Amino acid sequence: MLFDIYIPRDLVDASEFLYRNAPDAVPIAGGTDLIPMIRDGKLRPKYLVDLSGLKGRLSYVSIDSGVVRVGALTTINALGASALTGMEAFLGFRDLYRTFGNAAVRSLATVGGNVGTAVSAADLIVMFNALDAKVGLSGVKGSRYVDIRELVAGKRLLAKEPGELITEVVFNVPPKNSSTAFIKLGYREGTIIGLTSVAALVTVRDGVIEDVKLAFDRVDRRVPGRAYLTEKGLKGVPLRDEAVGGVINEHLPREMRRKSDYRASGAYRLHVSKVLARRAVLTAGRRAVGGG
Amino acid sequence: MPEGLGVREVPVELRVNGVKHVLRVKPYERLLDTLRRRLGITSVKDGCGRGECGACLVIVDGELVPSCLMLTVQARGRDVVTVEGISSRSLHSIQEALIKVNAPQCGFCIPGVVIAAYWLLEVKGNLNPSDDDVREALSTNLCRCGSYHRFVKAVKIAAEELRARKALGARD
Ligand code: FES
Ligand code: FES
Repeated sequence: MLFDIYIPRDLVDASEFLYRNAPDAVPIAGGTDLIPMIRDGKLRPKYLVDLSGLKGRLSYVSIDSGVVRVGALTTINALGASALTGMEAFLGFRDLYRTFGNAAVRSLATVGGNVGTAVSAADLIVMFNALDAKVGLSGVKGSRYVDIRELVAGKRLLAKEPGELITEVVFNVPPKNSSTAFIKLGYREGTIIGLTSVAALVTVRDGVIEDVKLAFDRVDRRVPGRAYLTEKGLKGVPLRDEAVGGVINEHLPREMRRKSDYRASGAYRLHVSKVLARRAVLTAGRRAVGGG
Repeated sequence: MPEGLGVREVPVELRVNGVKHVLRVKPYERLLDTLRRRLGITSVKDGCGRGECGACLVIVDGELVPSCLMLTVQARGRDVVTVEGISSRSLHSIQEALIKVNAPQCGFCIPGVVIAAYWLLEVKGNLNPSDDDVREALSTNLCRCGSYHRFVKAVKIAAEELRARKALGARD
């Protein structure tokens, strides 16, 4: 580990330094992903730009007029303690918080940092996919918002300009009778990268699924994505175990491609994805009608 | 390589166990190394170096932090607490309880366990933790000697002791 560090005065200064020194400069927030990457020699930045001094400005969770804004430097602990996890519609964040890393990692890891990893194991990317979240970017040419699926363009690849920093994540409070669920399966919950994870946002009307968003750690790319075919099949289906399971078993294999590696076979991952998706949809659905 | 990479030092001021230190550190120096090598605080152990084992845990401004993942530069102006800081005069109730239930085997993980338990009981102020609360607070800590059940037992004994002491204090 050999690098120099730059401590920016403010966000603009950070962007300008990153822009001038691209691609040799990398921003560091909590460092829970970055430091192991550097230690493993997978990344050899010349400069780290320390964002910890910007925390005062970029750590917040605000819920206003049906819109949720989460500052990029909000830690997972702060997110877990925020009003968000207490809201019926966002119980999925409580699921996520409980299986995210471990107690100490959660006090360092940040929301923006998790999104910025652009890997399938980034739980928040999966969750934000289900919520159709937009990500705020700020750079030398100003700021803009992009769809999370557009931003996370590939494994360890963010579709952003040099010097652009993630400033916040924005998404809508879903309509009433909606809720969320997040489930992850791994060998040691948290720290070890999960085998598969799923997030669901479900809206229920008269016992029937009116709308559903279903996101996985992987669908057909190497980063989190949505199972659109399965979502379509689930609309109008009664919120019952066999009905939901039947649709998922039929549609998910048509759109999901799972790879085998030393952790698990592709076939096992697909099987687990089906089971977890069913549970996530049913859990979110039950929460949506107030049945926890 | 940028000019002078690996040579430059950054001035950093931080408090460790209540004592202010003014240091010049390498940009890439981890808080873990500053504590162990510069300040001689050896309760902090270098285990996995990637936030997975909890051997290096410290408390920074009231947060439970793996010191292997925090650069010393990032700890500038902050308050760091280690086991030395909570047991300078006598053993802390958590340490006594760990000894009582024979939790330490090799002992390597114990400082991290003490800090995680201290964070739960004294920083977060949960003096009546459930088994799950304890497991959650200790979720970072790996113990290859497998003393996990004893940790839960010990932390609950320590909590009881601290509760009793608090009640006594309140009566005085
Ligand atoms: S050495 Fe820091 S968590 Fe293992
Ligand atoms: S007592 Fe040996 S690792 Fe925990």
